[in-house]
Amino acid sequence: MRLALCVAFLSAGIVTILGGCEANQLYMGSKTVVGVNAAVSPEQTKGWLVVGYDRTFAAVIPRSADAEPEPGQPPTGKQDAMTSLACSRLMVNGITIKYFTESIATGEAARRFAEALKDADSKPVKDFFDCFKRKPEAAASGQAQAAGADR
Amino acid sequence: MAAALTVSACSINGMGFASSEVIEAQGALVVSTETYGVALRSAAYDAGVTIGYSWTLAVIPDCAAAPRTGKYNFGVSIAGIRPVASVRRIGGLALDMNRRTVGAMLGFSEDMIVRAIPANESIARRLVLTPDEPSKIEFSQTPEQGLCD
Repeated sequence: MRLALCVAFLSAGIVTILGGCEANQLYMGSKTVVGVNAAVSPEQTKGWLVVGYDRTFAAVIPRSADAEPEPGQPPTGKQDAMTSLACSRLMVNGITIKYFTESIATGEAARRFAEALKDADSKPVKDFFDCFKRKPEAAASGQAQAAGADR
Repeated sequence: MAAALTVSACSINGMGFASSEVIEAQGALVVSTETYGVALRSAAYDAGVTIGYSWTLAVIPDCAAAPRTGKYNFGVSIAGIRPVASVRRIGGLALDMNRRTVGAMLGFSEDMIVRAIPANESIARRLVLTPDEPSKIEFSQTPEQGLCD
């Protein structure tokens, strides 16, 4: 076990050095542990040690992307990233996932969805991104969406 | 090969001492795989070893290389097809050595990961994931190009 951990940390260090520190992809994930967990995330350059119970739900978001060069010009380096519009919802039952939804648009698609939200008929967008739908009954009663089972 | 792996209580990439079921969901296929004993995974994004029990649910695009729907007594491999989402429950010892995580776990864990989107890509994606009711899973993505890469 100790040897495995040493190998793991050494590998993580090498991966981090070779791969750089900044994420270049957007992703979401969750992790639940009951027991012992020691790990590092090369993409986030962080590590953790869990003894007991832990649950994490996270999104890794890139801060920059390669800039698109002008036609006939050399690459100009990095630009701010990224336009995105996202709704996600996670429900758990005990220690396991019961329900997860993700609606996400990035780049030009996100800009178009955002513009369409201003339209009088924005139903198609709201059907796709259901967190934009008004839920008066839930808001009025102040229900905490499944009373603690919803994150 | 699957029989030899089964005798030795091993599986590699979901084949061997394992069982799988492939079902059709809305817009995708769902592959649910159970492994027992030593299970090795070699894909760069998911490499690792599990000693004990694991249950993996992978939502994969309906590509030409995707397995057919049905039950597989010695498991089924989805190597070469990158899931759009996956949930893995492990009981036992797990060692991860992949691009996302390097580490060890002893006990029970559940991991869920959704396929990453490159920083400069323009897509719209919707996913409804119900691990305990795989037939209710929904997936759609526009554009669909690149899903089977």
